[in-house]
Amino acid sequence: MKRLPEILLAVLVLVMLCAPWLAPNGYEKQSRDFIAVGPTKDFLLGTDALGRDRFARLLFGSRLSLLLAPAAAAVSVFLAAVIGALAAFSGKRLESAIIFFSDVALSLPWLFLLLTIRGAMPLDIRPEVSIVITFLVLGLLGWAGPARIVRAGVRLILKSDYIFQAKAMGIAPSRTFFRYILPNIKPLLIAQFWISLPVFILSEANLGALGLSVSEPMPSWGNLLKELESQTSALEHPLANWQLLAPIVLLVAVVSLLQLSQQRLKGSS
Amino acid sequence: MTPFLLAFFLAASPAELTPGKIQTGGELRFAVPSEPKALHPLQVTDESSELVRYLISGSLVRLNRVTQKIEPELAESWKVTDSGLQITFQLRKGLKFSDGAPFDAADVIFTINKLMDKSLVSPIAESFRPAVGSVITKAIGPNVVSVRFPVYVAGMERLFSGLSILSSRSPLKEAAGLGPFMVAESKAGAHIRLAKNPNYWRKDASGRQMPYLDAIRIEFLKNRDIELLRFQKGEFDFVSNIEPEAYEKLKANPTVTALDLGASLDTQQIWFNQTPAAPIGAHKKEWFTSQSFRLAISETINRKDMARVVYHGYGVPAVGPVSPGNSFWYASKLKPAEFQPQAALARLQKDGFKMFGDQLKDKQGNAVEFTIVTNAGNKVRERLAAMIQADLRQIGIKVTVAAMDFPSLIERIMRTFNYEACLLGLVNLDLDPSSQSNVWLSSGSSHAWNPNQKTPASPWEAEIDKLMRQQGSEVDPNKRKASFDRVQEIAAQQTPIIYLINKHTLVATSPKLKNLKPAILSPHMVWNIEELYFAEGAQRAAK
Amino acid sequence: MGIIPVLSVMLNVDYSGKGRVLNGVCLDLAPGEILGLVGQSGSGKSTLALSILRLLSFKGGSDSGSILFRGNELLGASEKQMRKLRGNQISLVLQSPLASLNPSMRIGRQLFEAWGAHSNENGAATIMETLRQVNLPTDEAFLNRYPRQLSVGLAQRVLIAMAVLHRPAVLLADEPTSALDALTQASILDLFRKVNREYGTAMLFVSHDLLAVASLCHRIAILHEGQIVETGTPREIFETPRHEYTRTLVNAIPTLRFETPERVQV
Repeated sequence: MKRLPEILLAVLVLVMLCAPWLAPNGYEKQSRDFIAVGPTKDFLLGTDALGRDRFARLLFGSRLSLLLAPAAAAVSVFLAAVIGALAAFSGKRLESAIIFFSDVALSLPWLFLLLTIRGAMPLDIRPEVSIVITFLVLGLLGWAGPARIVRAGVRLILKSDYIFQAKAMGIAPSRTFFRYILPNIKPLLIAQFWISLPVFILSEANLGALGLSVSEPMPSWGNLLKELESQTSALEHPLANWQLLAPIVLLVAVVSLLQLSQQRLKGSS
Repeated sequence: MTPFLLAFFLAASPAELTPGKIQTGGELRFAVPSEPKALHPLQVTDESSELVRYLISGSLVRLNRVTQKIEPELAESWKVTDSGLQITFQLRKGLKFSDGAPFDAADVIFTINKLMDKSLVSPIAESFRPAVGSVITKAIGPNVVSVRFPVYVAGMERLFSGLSILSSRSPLKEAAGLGPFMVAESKAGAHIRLAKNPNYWRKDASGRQMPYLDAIRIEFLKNRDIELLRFQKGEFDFVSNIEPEAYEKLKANPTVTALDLGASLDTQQIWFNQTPAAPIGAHKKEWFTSQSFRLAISETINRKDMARVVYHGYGVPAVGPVSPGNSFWYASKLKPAEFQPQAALARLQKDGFKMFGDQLKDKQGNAVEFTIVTNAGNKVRERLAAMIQADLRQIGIKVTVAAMDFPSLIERIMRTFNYEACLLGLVNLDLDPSSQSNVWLSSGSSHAWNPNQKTPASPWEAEIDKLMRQQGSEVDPNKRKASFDRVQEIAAQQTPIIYLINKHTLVATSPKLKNLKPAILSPHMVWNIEELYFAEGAQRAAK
Repeated sequence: MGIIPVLSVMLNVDYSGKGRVLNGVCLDLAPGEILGLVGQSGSGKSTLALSILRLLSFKGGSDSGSILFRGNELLGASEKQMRKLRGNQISLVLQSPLASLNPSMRIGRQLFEAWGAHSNENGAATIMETLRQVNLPTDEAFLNRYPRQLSVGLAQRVLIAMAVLHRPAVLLADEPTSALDALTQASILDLFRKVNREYGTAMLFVSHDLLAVASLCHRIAILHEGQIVETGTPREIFETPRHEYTRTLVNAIPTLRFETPERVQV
């Protein structure tokens, strides 16, 4: 039972991966005689304003977000590990340069930058490509915060008795790094990964709400949530239109499952 | 029982034109989707700038948006003479610009001379510049000015209703205005605040200084959903151009008043980029300049579905640039393009296009696919785009939709021409087709598919040029209509612009805002801005 | 003297910001000898060990003088040469055993790392033999433990095992029993005696605990304000202390008295 969050997450990912079979309607088919209908046998969560199957859109949208957010998190954590460790190891000058750049990175208006990047991309870019780029950019941009934590972590380890003891035993520097330092920042990196995962999911959702992320007709959590923004009817009759809340429920569920499993990981190490 | 009566009462109140006790003061608040691109009144090209221009500047005459008649403004009277070549204005005396600079004939002459500057690119400048010869302005006295056109200009006085008079003497130059308001604060990306112009010339029947409101705060808010929420919370006093879905919701809200003003003059349309200098593939240019390609696209778009799905019935399939709401100029014998994807496909196949599986390819084997750019945050356009996407998929055409912020979009379609197709709406300010000359003349800056041509790129564009000038120089309205009907006919045959839908004008207002005279013509709610006031006790303090 | 010392030190050490910490400290360590170095906290005892291992720079100190190990001057030795000596010829046991073990590496693996740092041969036999010598289990289950699964006493034994794997000529022990309870302390002191006996390892035993030092060492040096103020056998130090500071130290050792404190009447 302790692994319940991970098991549930795995089930979710599996369901998302089976989207083409579970939701044969597909995410872009417009059933124009069934506009914004409630749940039926054919449309488990009803249809949207263009008669598209909400259930299919939810599955396909989640698939994108759930597969790409970990990738983005991995990219940012990897960069953070390399840059952070480099900063801790290197001489004063390189270290202060890295700190300077991470300060700059943390203070840059990323939204504007993302807008610019999207603006610079060719228009006929496929939605699949655009979302990959969005997440890649998010990943590339996300290094600064974790890098500082990694740097602090590595510095702490460098000051520790066991590193000193390793030196006193004559262990070679490279071996010290791979055997004595790296394994000990791993929990830190894993924690950073889990922490940034929900952040990436939410930033994609926010970008989608700005019309930045995935373009029509491909769904993502971002544009599903954006659609929800105007669904005041869902707030007026929360039970009558429960199907509209499905994306939010799923997002909250996934983010809290991630948090739970992360807490457990933290607790065990 | 009570809610019903209340709703009935509220619905009836905006129609109540006889004001109760007029209250002065308060700040009117509303939102526009984008920031004004130009605050120079003569260089206005976008909706937001036009709105601000209207509020801060004065014109010689004004179009009453309800009666659709021209009324005196800075000119207390005017006379058209010399078989329609000359117009003479008798100006009001003693008027002052917002900074106190005096107003007289010199300012009118100064303004019109400015318009003649070829480097000035704006719809108003286009409509004033004659094809041949020059406009001659003369001061007959300090308060009398005559303007003489080399050729007859149809509905001449209408032209002047959109022309902001600039000061020839004010050190503030074009920032000095004769409108009821003036710019008090402009915060880039956030809002623009207008304050009452203390030198505004108009007084009401009881001699009270107008406008009644102290200030106007116009927020730049791209997201219309948020605009609606804030309107319902009372943070904005009205919303215009509401989308049908939202309209239905507002209709159910008893605290606001929702009004269907009927078919608007506005259109939604898509056009292909035919600009020779456009940085797009040669094969795509070949498609876009082909009449049968454009027709085929038009015939594959299911407009009835659009009206039903996207507009909830508050819209009609469009036939062309003139809405059925414009009863005189509407070309009644034209019909909307038939929805016939198979015929469209056959038309394309005759041109050498072939289906490979579910992908249409042209005769060189290029897959037929293109990108439609549109502005982000406009749900209706995003839905129209998604429907076009699905419709065109049926004949094997792959469409990508790229939504972007409005300034970037304008940049692409008017400056860099780096786009393939564009989905946009056009806001018509005027019933008269002369106002559309900047769209239809091949030299016009709003000749969307290929603007600012030196010579017409095609025989049919040359013919439209000729017809536009003809209708513009006819005196007989029926002959003018014959010419413009022909323009609409050519436009329907050639479909340089694929007209989709004429939507109804749907607005909603706070019942506290009094003296409103909502109109299908823009600016729907504030065209009589100087008369608006808040009900007693409902004024919002101006900050 | 007659015997050639295995380690002969004459040192000045400065810390940036703290000034001179060791001032002309002279020490000789004979082969197989256990020399106790006693002084207050902050008197520079640990600094001496660090300086000998040439690891002072990591803690921000600098030194001058001479460190002769088997007649070779270490003060000018390269890092590469020093790495060959550390853990091999001269090894170190630190004060906090749990913190001195790599938390993410199993005990067995750490022993093999220590072995592998100076030998390409299979060290399994040596490691097992050493573990037995320090009274540690040699089974899989023990070797697969992580440091956090050990008690302080076991951890200190592991560290000692690692320190003597290569049968070093000199073992530097920096307060190795300070973090231990009395019983564990006694058994670890026993262990040092045993190591000294079995392998003939010379030891520099740094501690503030005069009693522990006296029970273990052949000779005691008293360090005070950066200088060696007195050197002698335990007996000499306890019975005829010459220096004022030594007397203070000796007098400060509590003697056993069994007096029941008076109860407070309520």
